[in-house]
Amino acid sequence: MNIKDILKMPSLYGTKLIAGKNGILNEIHGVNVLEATDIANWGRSGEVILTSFFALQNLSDSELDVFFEKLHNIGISAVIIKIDRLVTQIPTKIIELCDNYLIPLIQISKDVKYESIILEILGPIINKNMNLLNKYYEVHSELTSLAMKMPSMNKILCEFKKMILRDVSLINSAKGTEISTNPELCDVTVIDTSEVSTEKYVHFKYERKKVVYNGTNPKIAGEQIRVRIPHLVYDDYELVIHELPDKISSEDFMVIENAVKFLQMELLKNYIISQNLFQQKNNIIGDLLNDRLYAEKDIDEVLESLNINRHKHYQVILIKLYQRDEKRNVGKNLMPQTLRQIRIKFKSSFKDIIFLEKLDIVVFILNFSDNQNSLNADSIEKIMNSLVENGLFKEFYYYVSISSKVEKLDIPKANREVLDTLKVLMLFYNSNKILPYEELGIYKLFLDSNSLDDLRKFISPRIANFRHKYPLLFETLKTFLDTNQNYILTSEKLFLHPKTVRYRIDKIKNLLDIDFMNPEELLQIQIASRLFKLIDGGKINE
Amino acid sequence: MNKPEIFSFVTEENIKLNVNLHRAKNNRKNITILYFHGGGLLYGVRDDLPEIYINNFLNAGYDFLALDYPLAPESKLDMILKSAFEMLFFYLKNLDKVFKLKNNKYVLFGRSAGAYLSFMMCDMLIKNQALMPMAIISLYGYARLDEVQFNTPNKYYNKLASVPDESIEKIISDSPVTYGPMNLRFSLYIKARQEGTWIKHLCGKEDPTKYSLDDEKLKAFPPTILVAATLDPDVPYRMTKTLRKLIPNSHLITIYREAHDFDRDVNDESGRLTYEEIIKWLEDKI
Repeated sequence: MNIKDILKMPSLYGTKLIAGKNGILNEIHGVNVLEATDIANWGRSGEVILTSFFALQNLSDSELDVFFEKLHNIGISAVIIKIDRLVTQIPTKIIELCDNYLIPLIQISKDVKYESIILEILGPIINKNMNLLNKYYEVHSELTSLAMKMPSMNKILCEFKKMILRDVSLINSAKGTEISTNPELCDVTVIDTSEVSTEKYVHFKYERKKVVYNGTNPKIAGEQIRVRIPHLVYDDYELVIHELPDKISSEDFMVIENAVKFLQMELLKNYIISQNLFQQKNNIIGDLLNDRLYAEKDIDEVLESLNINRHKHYQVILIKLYQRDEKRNVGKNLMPQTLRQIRIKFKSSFKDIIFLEKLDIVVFILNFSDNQNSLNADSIEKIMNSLVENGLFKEFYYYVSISSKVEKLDIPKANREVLDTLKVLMLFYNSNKILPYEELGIYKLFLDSNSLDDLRKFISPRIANFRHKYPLLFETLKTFLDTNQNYILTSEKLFLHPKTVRYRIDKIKNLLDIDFMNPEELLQIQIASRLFKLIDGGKINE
Repeated sequence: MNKPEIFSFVTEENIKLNVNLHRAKNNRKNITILYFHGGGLLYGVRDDLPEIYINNFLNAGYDFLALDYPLAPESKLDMILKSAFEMLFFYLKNLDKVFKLKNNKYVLFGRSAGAYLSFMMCDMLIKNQALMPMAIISLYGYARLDEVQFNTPNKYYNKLASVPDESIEKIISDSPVTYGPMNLRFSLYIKARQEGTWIKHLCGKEDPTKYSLDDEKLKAFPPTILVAATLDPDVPYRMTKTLRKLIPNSHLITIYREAHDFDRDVNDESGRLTYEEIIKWLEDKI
């Protein structure tokens, strides 16, 4: 309803529009009576103001300027002024202001009753609201009975289509998938995006996109409404309503509002079910990896239930994240979200793959045939790089350890391999790093030993004693050897004066009686320093 | 169709181009179809040809090689032509070593702007006295950029919503682009055709006539099959008719429709029939 419409009402019949003619199409959402100039406190956009001029009579020109600016800012649709004994003619100042601000000014005589104007304006508005609420209720009831039938997502979209008489799609942006009542409409080029202003009883945030539908033949231009479906955990889903053939109405919005709420509940339900399955699967895969299935028959059963029993070979890949800056507070959801993105990427890259997830770790088991190559650091690096490019690892570093290629009974062995590899990664590397078990080299020898105490037997007691007695000197010696016996580099690494380093090395020479030209002796010390790290790291892990 | 083998090549200007090679399995002819995608040289991807058509070629015994080329406006037309030619030349020189093919024979195939590239490549091959293609397949292609219709606002595209400048700014990249999916870059082309600035985006300040093939040159071209729709809103039909007259051993398939890339819809009869006819024509000519 606009000003043009109300001028045709019986109560305003024969009245004059004396200013603001260009605002004649202003929409009307309500009506109110002005008794004082405090309109900022109660005025609302789309209202028509009724006044007897009593409130305005004492205002100076500058006060009128301020008052009409307020009307304009609020978005008042029109002003109706009653002429009475007080004022027989509306001042030209007010006429000018109404013209300036495109606020239609309607003059009524004193025998026109406010009551009849208010009733005639409010009647259709109340009816419209009632219609909208009726529609809302109607759709709500229909959807409630639909929910009882446990429909598929496709079926739900088809029901929406019936209600709204337009095609609809549901986009999952995390997975890059889309289901639609008309698959031809899935491939679009977005030309422009604008926000949709909120209508009555509309709570979600809508966008209107001008698009070209590339999948139709010939291509067609169109508009679509998109609304993100708020989700408890992940904001992945977007509902698209294709506005063909024409724009959607307020009533359609009642359907969409309901649809979004309904989808919210459906997605939540699916999420809870999937979480349950996820936990179950996690437990089963945990048993498989940790050698808690004793009979081959059980292993076969588990592999079958997990759907990774088609090929002969298996490989385990472990990815652990750790925070770049431990002091930073990165929000507790970021870790699971990051792990989830990694999972999605791997699952879309490989066909026969399952995963187990823990706090900061995700472990994949990949099943592949004779014809396929096993995964190596290069192929994993490509995947990780594409995630890095998407900005996934802003807060985290990753360690990836890769097992060797095994057969089904050796899956627990592959798991031990990735855990051992992870130990080395955590001790010796401090940034993104991918390490296959096979490249561990000599470390395998030590990692295979079950007890850390066993490692001590590989260290000469002379070196062990020296480290025990002179920890600082041992650190200097280690750094000196790591830098290829470079005094300057050693001093830089240890924040010491080069002279101090020289002095310490001389002292070490005396104490240990080392010949720095003898590679055998140096190798002993080098290996011992690695072993100490393994032993110390092991203690912390225990 | 099996997944293609992907090969990479880096041009002198350090632009990385990929190619997809689909090998024919049965009744191999040892002839390669070299394919350039369309997209007004502003958008498009090398793997845009529907699988069903690629299979047609493979089943007939042809190997199929789909090539990247850099896109405008990030790369200007001379760079696009130069890079595409380098890529083509690399293929011809290394077809046995790198691609493990025995195919000394080849056919140039392009759709729309890809057909334009095929024509330009052919001209560059002649100039360089290189090994010529056995034939050219042009779907709704053109050989001149100085056409009035290309340089004035296009009615068909002006029926679509106008594209705001901000959305264009977001699309244009700082570095060369070689893979431009339609959903991301089509609006570049829409806007360019709406404003009639398409050729300017390609040529910059250079004269588009410099990048147009004159009649004499076309006379030296190998057998060419041309396909176009009568009411094509992008590339007027008369351009294809002119090519039919100028290229000596040429054949024209006319589609009576209001469409540009009519073969996009694989459920449509005319696409299927067209490719069948192309393959039949190839059998006759080579």
